[in-house]
Amino acid sequence: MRDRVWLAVYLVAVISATMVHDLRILAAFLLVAAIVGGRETLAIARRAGQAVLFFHAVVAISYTALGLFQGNFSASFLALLTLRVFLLAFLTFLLQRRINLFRALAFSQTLAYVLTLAYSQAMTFRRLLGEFRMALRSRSVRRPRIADLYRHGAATATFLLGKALHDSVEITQAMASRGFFSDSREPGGPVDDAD
Amino acid sequence: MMRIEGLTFAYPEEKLALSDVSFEIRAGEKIVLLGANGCGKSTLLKILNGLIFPRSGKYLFRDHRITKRTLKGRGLHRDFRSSVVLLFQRPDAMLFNPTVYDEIAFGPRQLGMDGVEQRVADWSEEFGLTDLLRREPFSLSGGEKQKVCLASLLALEPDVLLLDEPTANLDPRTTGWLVDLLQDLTLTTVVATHNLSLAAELGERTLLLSEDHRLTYDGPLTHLLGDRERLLEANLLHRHRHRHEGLEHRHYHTHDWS
Repeated sequence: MRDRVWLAVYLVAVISATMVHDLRILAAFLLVAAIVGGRETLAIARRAGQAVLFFHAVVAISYTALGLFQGNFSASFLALLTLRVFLLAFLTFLLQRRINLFRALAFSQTLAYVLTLAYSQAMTFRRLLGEFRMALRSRSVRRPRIADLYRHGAATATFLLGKALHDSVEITQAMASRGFFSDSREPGGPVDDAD
Repeated sequence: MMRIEGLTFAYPEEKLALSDVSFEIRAGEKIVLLGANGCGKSTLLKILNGLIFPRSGKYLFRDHRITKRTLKGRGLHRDFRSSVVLLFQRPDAMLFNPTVYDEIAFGPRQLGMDGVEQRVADWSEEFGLTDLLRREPFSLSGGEKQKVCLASLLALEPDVLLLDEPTANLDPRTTGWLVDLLQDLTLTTVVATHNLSLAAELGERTLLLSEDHRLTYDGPLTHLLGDRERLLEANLLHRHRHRHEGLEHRHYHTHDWS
């Protein structure tokens, strides 16, 4: 029950954060979230910062460049966007530490299935990613050049994408084989495989 | 050459992988690292390759303590990475260059070795890869990828070759080729496997990891193969029913079950 309440609070907070356009109110949201985070606040903030840094930096730099070029740059809009992105990431990592998602979604069999599949895939891909990084480190006598890092990133992404596509077909077939889809006309029903 | 003292390793989720493991490896030894799935073989190989570091205990390579900090030293890093190489269980993890040629040349180029072209030509010929040099590594078969990975590692002329379940994804012909290659190599090898039937072909000395992640045997493989109780305890031996023309019986097996 407790997990479900936290999940509901999280969903309300996320929706509210996307609807509020006042910087001070968003800052107040973040303050409340930080208080709820307690001792873990700093760790969660670091994690949230790392998660959004790259993507948000690209967006912020592009917006700034375009805004300055067109003469309509707004610092307050950029601050609002930054705060909102960080708050959403903070709330998500806070939720991750506060609840057991499996218990929170136990009320729905379908959601529980979806979560189990997504979680097992995420674990598999996390392990694979770690393995690929270690292999590069293992083979690098000296620091890899930027071109090597790009190539490695591309090779890893290609492999993971191929694996994701292959696994999705396999998982769908396995679920169909176990009678998960009672109606084959439904999306995700038995898959036509050309192989 | 390599010394492990009282090593314990646990993953962040507190999952224990190795518990109080100690052993020494001398130059030129052929070691078979045996154990059932999940007993810590891959973890131990990654520690020996300086990719992860133990919570407690020591790892020394040529009397240098290998830690995250010491491996940042440029001299030791270069010496260690060119001396100790690891063949990952999944070859895809190791392949990222645009062609087989570049894959084999990657290590020698990094080391600034002379005659990279000749080295690639020699190793590709040795491994029967000459016709594949312009191909993209990801388009190769599993056995070919394994060969490219091995050629890429051996082109560095390392002193220690670590192999993680190298026969797990190979067909019988490529497995035979790999066994011959490993027997012919003069460098130190550590091969992790749970395949008892192949173990005798891969080395003379055996390190056995138990399911509670301890080193429970260090000695000649021939002695271990005669110790049925120990093999059963390590989950390397199994028994099941057979039916032969109406006759049913049970006996122990050492053959692979993967």
